[in-house]
Amino acid sequence: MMEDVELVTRAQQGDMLAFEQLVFRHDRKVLAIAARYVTSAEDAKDIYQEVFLRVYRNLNKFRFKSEFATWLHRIAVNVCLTHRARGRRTLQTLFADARGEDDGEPHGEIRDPAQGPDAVAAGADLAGRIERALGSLSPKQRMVFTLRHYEGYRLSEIAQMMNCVEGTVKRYLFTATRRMREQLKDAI
Amino acid sequence: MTHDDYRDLVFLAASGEIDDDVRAVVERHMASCRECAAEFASLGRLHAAITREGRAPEPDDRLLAEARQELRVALRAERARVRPWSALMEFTRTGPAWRLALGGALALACGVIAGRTVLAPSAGQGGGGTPPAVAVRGAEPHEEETRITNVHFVNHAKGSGEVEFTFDAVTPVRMRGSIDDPGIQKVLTHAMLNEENPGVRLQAVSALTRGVGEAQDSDVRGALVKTLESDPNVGVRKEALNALRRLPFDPEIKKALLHTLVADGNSGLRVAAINALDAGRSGAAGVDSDFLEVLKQKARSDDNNYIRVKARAVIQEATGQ
Repeated sequence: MMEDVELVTRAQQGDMLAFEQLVFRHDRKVLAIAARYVTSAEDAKDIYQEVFLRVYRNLNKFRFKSEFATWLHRIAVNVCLTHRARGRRTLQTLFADARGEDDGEPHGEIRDPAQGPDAVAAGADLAGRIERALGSLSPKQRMVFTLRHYEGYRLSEIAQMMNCVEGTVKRYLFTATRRMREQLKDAI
Repeated sequence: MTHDDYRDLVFLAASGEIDDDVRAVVERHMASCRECAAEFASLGRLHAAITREGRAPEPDDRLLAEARQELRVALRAERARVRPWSALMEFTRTGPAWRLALGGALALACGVIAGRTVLAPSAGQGGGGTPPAVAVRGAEPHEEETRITNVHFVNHAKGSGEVEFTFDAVTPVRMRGSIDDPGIQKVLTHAMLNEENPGVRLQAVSALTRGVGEAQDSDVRGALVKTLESDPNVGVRKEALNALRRLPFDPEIKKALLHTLVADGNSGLRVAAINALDAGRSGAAGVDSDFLEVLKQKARSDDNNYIRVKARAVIQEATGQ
């Protein structure tokens, strides 16, 4: 099987088949990152598409200073963090926008306004509560938390993907964990 | 080390982020500190619950197939959007000085082509219509006259005597040669994956099908697999499946057929896929656990009666149950 380096080189020369091989080799992971970051399948597909369009547009700027997968995942993380949910902007992104910068601090208990009493009752199971607790995290906290606990990345790898120092990632994870535990304390 | 230092280490230990030797230090501390031990246990319960109950499932194959199809359409639009001139500008803008010189030379070449085309005395010979049929020895492409399209004025300062515009230089190329020729196959493979028109993609697959043999080029084979998995047109996918059936059954083809059986919305294609898998298993491939799992799922829940019956029959033959 051809190495990523060779496929990237060929794709940079305009070989679409090589580009598609690259996509098919890595896209399941990208979709997994997206699907765990957002809750709707449509949003996950939007992110997936935006990631690979950005890769396509910027592949000629890739200089092999890192693994292709690292570069790709960094793009995926950036697209997730700047993604606006289809149809409406989420409360937490509006919060982040209002402050201009995501400072990593918890945003308080944010509930989906569409959830009436029935929906809340139906979602009273642990999975539903975890989902809501994740939804209450800031985008960067949620990204660090999902990459660490669902994708199994090390903090150093996440720092590379988010283009920040490991200490910052540790702080996001620490705050996210504290927040999750607060919200789930009577369930686990 | 202070108690707060240990609390940080406890957090990292529970997150699986410290080495074994540091972990041993933390464990020694926890043996004598009930608060840190309780914190470690609490974090462990949280992580276990999140892993067990949270957003665990991998994206399913159907979602992935949909995402790939939509990406393919978006990429076609993207390629149509990017003009050669833009590419040239990018090439010269981002590189060293020699690129600027080369870019200038290319621009000059474009100008010469444009001049030849626009100012040619006998416009009827190449200005429009179908290029004349040219028999080409082997599979050498024959380039016809370049056409200028999509002229877009960027700047036209009256009185300055200068004008700036962009355009697409389109060159029709006619090829003739054996379907076994790698050059022909490469062009048709590209068309199969990238042409907007499904009729053209279908013709490309059909042509390649006629050339499919034991020594099939792996690029063509890979492209047929991708077409089967993600072409939006059912006729094109069907033709790709037919082409793959003519190749020796192998794990890559089996995987593509399983994907079709699991994820394709067209029952006719799923029937063709299960038949092809059944035929393949009678060779060396047999029925492995992946295939068996899909068969069980299909026997239970496929909405097509033939597929349910066929799946049960294959399971029975393969397992004796």
